[in-house]
Amino acid sequence: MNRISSHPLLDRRQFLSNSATALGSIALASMLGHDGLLASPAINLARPYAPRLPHFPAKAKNVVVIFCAGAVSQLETWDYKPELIKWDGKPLPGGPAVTFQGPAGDLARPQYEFRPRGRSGKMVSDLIPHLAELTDDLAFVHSLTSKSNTHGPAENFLSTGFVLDGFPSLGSWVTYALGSENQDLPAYVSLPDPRGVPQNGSNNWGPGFLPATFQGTTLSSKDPVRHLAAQGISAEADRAARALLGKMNERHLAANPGDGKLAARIASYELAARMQLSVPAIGDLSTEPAHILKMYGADDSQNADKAAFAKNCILARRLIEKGVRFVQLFNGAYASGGKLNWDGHNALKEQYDIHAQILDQPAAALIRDLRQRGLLEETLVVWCTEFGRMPFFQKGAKGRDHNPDGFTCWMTGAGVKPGVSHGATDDLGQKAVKDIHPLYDFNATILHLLGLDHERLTFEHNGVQRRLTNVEGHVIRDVLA
Amino acid sequence: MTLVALLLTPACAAAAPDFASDVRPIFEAHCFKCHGPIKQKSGYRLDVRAIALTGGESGTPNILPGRGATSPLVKFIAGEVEDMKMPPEGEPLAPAEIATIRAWIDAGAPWPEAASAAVADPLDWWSLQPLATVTPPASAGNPLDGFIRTQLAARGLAPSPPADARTLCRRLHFDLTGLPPTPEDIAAFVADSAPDAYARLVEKLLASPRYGERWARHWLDVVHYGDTHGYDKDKLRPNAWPYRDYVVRAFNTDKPYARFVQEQIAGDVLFPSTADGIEALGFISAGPWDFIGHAEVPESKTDGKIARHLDRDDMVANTIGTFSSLTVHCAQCHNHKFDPIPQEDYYSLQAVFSALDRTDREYYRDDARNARFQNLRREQRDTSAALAALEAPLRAQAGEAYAEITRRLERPPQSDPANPGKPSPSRGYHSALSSTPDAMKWVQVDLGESVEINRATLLPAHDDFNGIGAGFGFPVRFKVEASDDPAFQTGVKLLWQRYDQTFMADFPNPGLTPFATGGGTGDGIIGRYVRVTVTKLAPRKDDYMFALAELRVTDRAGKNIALGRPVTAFDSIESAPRWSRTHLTDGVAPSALSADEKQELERARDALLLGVSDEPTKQRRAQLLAESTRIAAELKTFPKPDLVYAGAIHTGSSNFKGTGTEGGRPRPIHVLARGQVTTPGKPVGPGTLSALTFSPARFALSPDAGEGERRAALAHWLTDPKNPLTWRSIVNRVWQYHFGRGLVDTPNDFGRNGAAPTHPELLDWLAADFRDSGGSLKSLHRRIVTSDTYRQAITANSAAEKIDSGNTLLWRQNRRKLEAEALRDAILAVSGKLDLTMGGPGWQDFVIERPEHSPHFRYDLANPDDPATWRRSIYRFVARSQTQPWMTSMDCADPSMRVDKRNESLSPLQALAMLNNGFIVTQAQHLAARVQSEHPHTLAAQVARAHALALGRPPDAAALAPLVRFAEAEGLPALGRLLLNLNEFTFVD
Repeated sequence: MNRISSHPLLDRRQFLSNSATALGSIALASMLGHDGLLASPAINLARPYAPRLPHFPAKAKNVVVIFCAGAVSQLETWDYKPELIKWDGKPLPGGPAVTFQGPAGDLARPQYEFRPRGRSGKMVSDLIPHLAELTDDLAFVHSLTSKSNTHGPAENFLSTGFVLDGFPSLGSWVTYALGSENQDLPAYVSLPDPRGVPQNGSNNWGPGFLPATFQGTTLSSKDPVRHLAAQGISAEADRAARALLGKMNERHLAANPGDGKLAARIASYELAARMQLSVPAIGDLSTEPAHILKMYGADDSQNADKAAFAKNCILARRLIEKGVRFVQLFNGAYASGGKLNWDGHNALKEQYDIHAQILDQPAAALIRDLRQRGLLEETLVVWCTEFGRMPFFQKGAKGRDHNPDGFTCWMTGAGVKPGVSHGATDDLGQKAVKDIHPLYDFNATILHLLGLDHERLTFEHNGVQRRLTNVEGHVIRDVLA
Repeated sequence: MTLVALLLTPACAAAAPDFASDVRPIFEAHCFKCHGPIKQKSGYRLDVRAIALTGGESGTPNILPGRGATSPLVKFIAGEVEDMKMPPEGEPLAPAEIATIRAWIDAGAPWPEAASAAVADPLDWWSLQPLATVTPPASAGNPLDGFIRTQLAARGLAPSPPADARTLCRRLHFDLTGLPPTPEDIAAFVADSAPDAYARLVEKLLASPRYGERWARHWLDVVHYGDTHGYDKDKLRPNAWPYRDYVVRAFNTDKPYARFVQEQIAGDVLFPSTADGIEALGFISAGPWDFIGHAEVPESKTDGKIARHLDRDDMVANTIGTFSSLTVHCAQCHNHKFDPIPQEDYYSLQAVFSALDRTDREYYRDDARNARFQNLRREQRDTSAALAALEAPLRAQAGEAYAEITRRLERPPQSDPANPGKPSPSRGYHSALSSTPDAMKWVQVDLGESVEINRATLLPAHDDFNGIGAGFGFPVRFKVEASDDPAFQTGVKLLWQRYDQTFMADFPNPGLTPFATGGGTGDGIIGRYVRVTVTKLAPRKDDYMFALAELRVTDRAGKNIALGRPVTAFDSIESAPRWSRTHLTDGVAPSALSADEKQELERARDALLLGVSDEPTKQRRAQLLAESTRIAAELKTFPKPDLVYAGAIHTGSSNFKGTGTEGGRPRPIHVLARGQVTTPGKPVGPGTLSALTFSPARFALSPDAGEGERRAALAHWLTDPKNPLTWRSIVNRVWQYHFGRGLVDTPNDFGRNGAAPTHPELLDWLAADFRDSGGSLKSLHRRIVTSDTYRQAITANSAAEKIDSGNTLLWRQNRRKLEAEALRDAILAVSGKLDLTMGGPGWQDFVIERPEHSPHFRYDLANPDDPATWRRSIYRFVARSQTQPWMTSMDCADPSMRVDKRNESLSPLQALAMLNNGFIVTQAQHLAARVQSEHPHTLAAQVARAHALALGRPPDAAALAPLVRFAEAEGLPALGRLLLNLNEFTFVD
């Protein structure tokens, strides 16, 4: 082997301390696939989660996405349709005989009372009283559309911008672009509902063709983190192993200078070791005072599902507090006839009474808690669902079918104009008619708030400069502060 | 307009705006973002004169010189056209700017050629040129090195010295077999001082079955092979693996590349008697398949059309991406933005595959038996055709009598007992129509009082509508229940239910055979009402419905207690005289001919034919019939055929019909504007890329040519010696897997968006040499791995780094991280647990939950130490929707995506997975047990052995002591875990 070179880049300390060395960036570029074609960003292989600059000054630094799986009915929540009350029990004029799951029944009034909220007086339903109290702070988009009316593909569409499997998720794109503020925790954390994963599971936090480094790490207040510790190996034994491993790797590096990959892998083990310490700490809610547990409903002994989701909400706040870039918080599990998620086909009210109990207080507490800690000034909170529901019940049932043609999501926090209601569905709440926005626009807006131009955030894959928004997407300016 | 007039117009009172100084800056500021050098929305750009003046894809000129006010461009920027306000976002143009543009157009839109960007000739692109005849630079030894050295020298660089024997041995083992050498392999190689030692090692590894396993995995990345369908349901694909095994075999037998390509596109046509020719068609079906879009939505509906369009899109993209390294799929919605691929080329490629679907295909793995089977099938088709041809004139001669018997055999059966002998259409219950099959409907009978029920019998209806006939409207999924509650809310007793157990298995149409639930008394099935609930309706034409001729309910004594009882239904068409709720219990239902009756009629019909035949015809007919009987008898002797999931003509019922019912006739293909199936444009025939001019781009096939000829034509085009893409593509892929980087760094994209070749002459020389020497991949490997370039060490050279930091010129070899599969296999090899059993259904390292609906793959519930999972990773069952988490964290290829190059990322999540995954921990234990049994006495020997197994070298003295100390303190399994996590283990030098 050649003599050890004195090339400055070959000194590991310097390599690691300099976040933008040419070698690190180049090495990663080549690892990412294709030299010279990487449109953005330059990533230091030894510190893949190092914070990176956005395209333009960002309003928001971090994101919490509250993803309600199963398709929440806009008509029972945020999209007030007094006309529908009048039409209750009547057939939809000229309406479709059959929708996704079966024949349409008669129009059905919102199953909950609406009342004016806050200074704006915007009508929001009694289903979610805690969240409703925040109405003045939220920016609603009432006119979203999806490309699919089936849960799996629609979840993909919301999370990745494509209905097919295999594309990078929003969180992967964001952490690929921006890294993270915390080097001791994963940059991107997904918190599945304690009742189960959403219908399309890991596609919602998958890296697609981006490097696996940028996949979401699933944590939960309930389950141990995968791979955080090995079964049957004590912490001391583990430390001893990593110490010797580190020494041997250093020795090997010294004998094989000139390749950033070796140093980068050593760095990844050091980061892993820090995660091993910091992840259990972040999951240890015993340090949370009683009033916080109460505020979230994490102490609710009557409702285990709510308490578990509330703990995930607290976990989300703790992660944001520590500078984790992207937290995805699921409310609702896989398709289960509406039992475990918001898929209210048959007995909507009965099931929503249960689901809303789980969602409402904890999610509202999360937003309040972020605000009282000053975190909402730099954190964007997004509430979303894969599509909406029909204004009529299904024939012979007391629930609503899938509706991808007009539904509501909202955002709040950093960079968001509070109290906006943008776009609208028709009088019965079936189709978006004013300022219609495919979910592409919603995702483009999220990226924009993070200082990212959705048309410039690209990755070359099979000859296409892929984007989160495919070839679509317009920022929804009305919701920007 | 005269000059005088021009001068009189106010806009021209001043001098006409100058293009370069006045007009272009406006375009640049407001329009270039979408219509400039970088991006050309709708194919329109304002930096190239010819395109700016003539319009984009629409072909409608936007600039009409001399007519500023009426030029569309001016209307757009002035916001006069709704939906076409330009720019669509951001600041509109200032009135003065609009006036300038208008004045400039009024003045004739003068645009000096020099101020126009040049657009290159689209065909002038390296990858489309014929393979150049290249003479390698003069150099001793491997000609390949001459090319590399020439380019190194031109940049003042020199190659690195050869790597040491141990490094080479390890490198070669991993590259060719994906497995590490044993310490004994290395020792033998290091000790072998014969000049041909290296060449012999190469031969040994190329001859190993492990070679095919290693290289087949690369191939499966490219073709996005998986063992499930993907999409929403992600159902299992239990017969995909024969294609995977075919690929392994093809590499191991060094199948000539042209043949390999041809088999995968048209093996059934070009090599019909071989099993390879059938199994290879798994290439066409390798990618994901939209189960719902095919099985639940008929082709007549828009969603069904979209599903089938996207299915062909995947076939086309996979074919051209894999074999030609072009991104043809970008021409689905519009002409390719960067490469000379018109939309029509893309759709002509769709036409090649338009008869096919993805489905299981019957064949026999044994070549001889398969040949016989395919032959018999062919003979069977031929005999039937000959018989039909022979009988046609006889039938005509036999006249009305023959026709009458045929009618009686085929026509609606007698249904009205009151009028025997008189054909009567079915009477029964008929639901309202539905536009989708997934609608719930029910019909029920009121028995008058709560009684014990023996069984319920559903009698199918008959109706000639849309040629359906027997079994018209018979439900596809349904259940039968009894209750005392007419609303069936309480006390519901299930008599029969099909759909829950086999949610996706439809009930086959029974014809006129009555369907009866299982009978039984004393089982508590008591009720006043009996309800048939349908959850999936029967297809009619463009809609769905549910019909029954009769519902019988028998009591303990066998009496039909439903007869004449009142009927209610979810809905009913009530179309007198045939369809009414009351007909459900009117005692009238069609019945099929009995077997005896049928035989009798057939005999009579036969006699008629013989009566009009002359002797030679009789004899010929007898011969054909005997032949047909013989074939049928021999086919009966065959065991159950093997199945491979492949591209095939599908013959199905219900929604997923395929083209089999149309004799495999290709579906008509049209150019689709913006890729929308709702706007079919010009029809196109089968063909391929027009950018290559060595042969016509549209295949010269007669209109009645079978679909197989289309694929055969494409296979021949792909493997034509004059097709430069095919040969460049494959040698580049092989090069990449040996060096970590291709000569073209974008192996799936040789277009303008891709990378340029670093060594174009070498690429062409290798491609031509490969093509001209029979397309032997093993020879290509030999050529590459015996080169000095390949055998270089990985050196540190700061001077070289300054010049070529990415090592694109190959002044050293590249250090490569083991891919997920190689890593996993290496761990098993080191632990001694690797099971080298080849082939067969994939092993599974997950538990499936809810298989009946959409399977959930629970990797966390599987036993990490299951010996069934100790086989090589290529034999893993690859699920698409939920990828294996450990493999995914190691950058394993996503089976939903065509992967030409693996990512090589490094992350803490990977580190945690390597340290703590149950597989690693248990394999470390096996490694410990292995070295303990091999060296039972001293710990130092055990440590040294484990080290040698993992890294291919014993630890030096300085390393051994701390390792032994560690093993003493923490145990040998901990040591094993440490070794498996070393950089030296993870990277190949």
